[in-house]
Amino acid sequence: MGIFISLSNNLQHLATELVHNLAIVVFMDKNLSPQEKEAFEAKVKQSPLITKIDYVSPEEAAARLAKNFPDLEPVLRDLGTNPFPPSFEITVQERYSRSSLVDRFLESLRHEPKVRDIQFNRDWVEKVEAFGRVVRAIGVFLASILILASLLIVSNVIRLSVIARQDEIGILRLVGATNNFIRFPFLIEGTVLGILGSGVALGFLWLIIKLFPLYVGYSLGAFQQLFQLRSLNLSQALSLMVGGGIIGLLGSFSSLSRFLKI
Amino acid sequence: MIELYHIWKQYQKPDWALADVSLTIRQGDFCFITGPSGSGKTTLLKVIFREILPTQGQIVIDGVNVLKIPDHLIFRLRRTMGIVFQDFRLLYQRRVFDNVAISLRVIGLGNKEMRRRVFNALRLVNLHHKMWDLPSHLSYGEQQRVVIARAIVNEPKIILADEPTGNLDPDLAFEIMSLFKEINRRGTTVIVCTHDRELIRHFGEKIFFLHKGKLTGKEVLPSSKK
Repeated sequence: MGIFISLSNNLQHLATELVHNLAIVVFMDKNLSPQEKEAFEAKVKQSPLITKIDYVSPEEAAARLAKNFPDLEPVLRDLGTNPFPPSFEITVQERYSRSSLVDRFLESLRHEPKVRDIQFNRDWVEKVEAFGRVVRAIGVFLASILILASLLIVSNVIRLSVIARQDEIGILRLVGATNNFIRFPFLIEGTVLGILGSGVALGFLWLIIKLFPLYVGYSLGAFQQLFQLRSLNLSQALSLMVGGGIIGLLGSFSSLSRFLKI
Repeated sequence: MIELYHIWKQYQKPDWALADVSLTIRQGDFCFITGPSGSGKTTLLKVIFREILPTQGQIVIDGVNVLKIPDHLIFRLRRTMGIVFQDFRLLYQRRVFDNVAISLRVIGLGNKEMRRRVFNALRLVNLHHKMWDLPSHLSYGEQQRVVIARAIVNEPKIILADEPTGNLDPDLAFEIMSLFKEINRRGTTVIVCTHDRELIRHFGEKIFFLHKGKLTGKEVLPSSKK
C-alpha cells in the first residue's frame, strides 16, 4: 500500500510540475532568420497568457538529447546533420492552463509564417493525471484485499493467543473477571501487532525507495523521473501506522467475538 | 441463601443429569452433596455458579434469580463465590502469590492491599512461607491449599468445592476438610461435593443425597464433630 501511495505521490508531483511548467513548444522552419525570430518573440510576448518565451536553437536541442539520452548520441553523430529545427518554448500561466483562451492562442500561432508544428504538454498533464487516477484505483483495490488479509491474519494470531491462554481465561471467568478485563490484553496485542507490522512495512518501503534508483540505473534518462519513488510524507506514514493499529484492533475484536464469544 | 426450585438438566436425550432437584441452603451452612459417580453432583454445582444453564427450574441466591442475570453480568455472581476443583486449575507458570492474587486483580485492588490479603489467605492455609514458589514445586495437598486460598482471598459468601479431596490421601483429605470447616466457622457457606463417606461421617452437618440426578434424601446432623 505504501508503494502505491509513493507512486501516487510521484505521479501527483509530476502532474503538478507539468502544470507549473505548462509549455507550448513551437517548432519553426529551419531557415528562420534572426529578424523573423525577433518578430515572433515580440508577438508572443504581447499575449497576457504567457509568462515567458525561450528560444531553443538546433544546437541546443541536440545537446539536450545527448544529455538526457546519452545512448542516442552516437546516432546523432552518425546522421551527420542536425535534425532539430529551431523552436520556442512558451510557458503558459498556470491559471490559464486549461482555459479555451490557450486553444485560441495556439490556433493563432499556427497561422504564423515559419511555424511548422506546435506541441502543447497539456495532453501529458491529463495523461499523467489519468495514470495517477488509475494507480490510485489499483492501490485502493489492492489495499482492500490487503486489509482483509491483514484482518484475517491478526484474527488468527489472536485466536492462537486465546487458545494458548485458555486455562488462564477459564480461571479469570471463574473468579469474576469482566469481559473487558479478559478482552483488554488481547485487544492491546492486536493493536500493537498492527502498528508493528505497519512500522516494518514502512521500513521496507524506505529501503525500496532508497535502492530502487540504484536498481533502475540511469539509462532511463529523462524517463527516470517517472519511475522515481517518492517517500511518504509524515502524515501519510502516521496514517498508515494508525491504520495498521486499527486493523489489528478490529482483527483482535473479531477473533474474540468469534472464539471467546465476548 | 441458595434456593433451587425444580431443577432439571439434560445434556443428551433421554438421560437427565438432574431431575427435579429442589433444595435450600442457608447462609453459614456447611453441607455435603453426595452420591455415586454420575449422580449429578458436579452438574448441580455448575448450575449454582452458572457455568451451565438448567433445562428447567429456577435458582435464587440471596433473592436474585441467577438464571435471569445477563451473560455480561455473571462476573458479579462469581465474585461472591469461591470455587475449588478437584483438578486444581492452577497456573503452573505463575507463582503461588500470582495464582492467589488473580481473584483480587480482577476487582482492581491496589498492590498493597492485595499483598496483605494474599498473605493472610495463604497464612490461613499455612502456605505463606511458599508464597513465591511455583505450584509445580508443591505437593498435591499444598496445591489444593493454594486453590483454597484463591477461593477465600476475596472473602466470598459461598465456597463451592467439587471433590476437593479426590486426589489426596486420607490424612490430607482430613486436613483440607478441616480447613473448610474453619472457613465455615467464620461465616462462609460451604458446599462440598464428595463421595467420601468417611469425611461426610466426620464433618457432615447437612447432607444431600443424589442418585441418577434425583435428590433422594437429606440429612441434618448435629454440628458436634468439629
